[in-house]
Amino acid sequence: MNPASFYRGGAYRAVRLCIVVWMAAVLVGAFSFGGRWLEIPRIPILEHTARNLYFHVPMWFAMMGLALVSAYQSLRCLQSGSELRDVRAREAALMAVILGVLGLATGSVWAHYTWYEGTNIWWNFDPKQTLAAVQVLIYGAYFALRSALEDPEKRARISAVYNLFAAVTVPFLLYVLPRQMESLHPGAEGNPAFSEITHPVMRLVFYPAVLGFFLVGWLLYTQRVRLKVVQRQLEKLREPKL
Amino acid sequence: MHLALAHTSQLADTVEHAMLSNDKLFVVLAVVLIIWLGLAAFVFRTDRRIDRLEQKLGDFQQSRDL
Repeated sequence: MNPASFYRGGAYRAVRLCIVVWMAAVLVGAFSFGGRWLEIPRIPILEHTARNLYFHVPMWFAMMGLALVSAYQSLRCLQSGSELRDVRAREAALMAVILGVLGLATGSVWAHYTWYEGTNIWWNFDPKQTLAAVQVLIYGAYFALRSALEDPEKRARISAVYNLFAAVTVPFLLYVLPRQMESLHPGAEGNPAFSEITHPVMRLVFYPAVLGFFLVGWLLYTQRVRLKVVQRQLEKLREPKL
Repeated sequence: MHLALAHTSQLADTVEHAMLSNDKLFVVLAVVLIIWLGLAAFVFRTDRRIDRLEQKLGDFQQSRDL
């Protein structure tokens, strides 16, 4: 579909409103306590911060989803040489980086008040944190690479190839390697990620939150693509006619 | 100087204490605020830029049609 007419349409705005309402409902669910409904047990150290499961984790899922979208668009860009595919790959990668940075920030705050409670530590090189930071840097390098290439076609092709390699590292850096090491994150050393201490009722908020963050990721991504498409149209209009 | 230092460390203690009160509920609030303020600022900024550019694009097309 033509991204211009799609973004201008009332349907897009309606969907956007639905996503905002959905996320508001997730927030209400996440903060409901005191009563019996959606109440979660207080585990020592974690206490109420277990509710961060509804935000921190789905956000990383959305980050991986956007990295996957970016890789797919890069692949299609290599096949077709289409400029729009390159724009989409870049914007999806940008949103993945932003979600990754927010994920590192929220993880650091969470860890400071739980794992490192009573100390002044915000960051202690937990393997999963460190590898997540490496992952964000790998995507940061994608933008460094892009800015180094002047010719648009060459930039699209070379950065698409790099992006495919970057995407291949995602499952290893975020899943395979941290699970082999001693980490404070759940799922380390072959444990299940949804551990037996995760109360079943948390799934009632967690799964809608995962869906919500994927939708928010989609929203951010389509919005950025629209911005770039309008910018490009303006540039083309301004170019002197030969 | 010493007074200022003592003051900031006191402030830090107060924040630390507040974050750990109520079974650490405010840690969740901090995390949610980091995410939502970060994303909301991004969405609004991008939307404003799109509106401005679309306006310009419309003006351009109008002037070309005349």
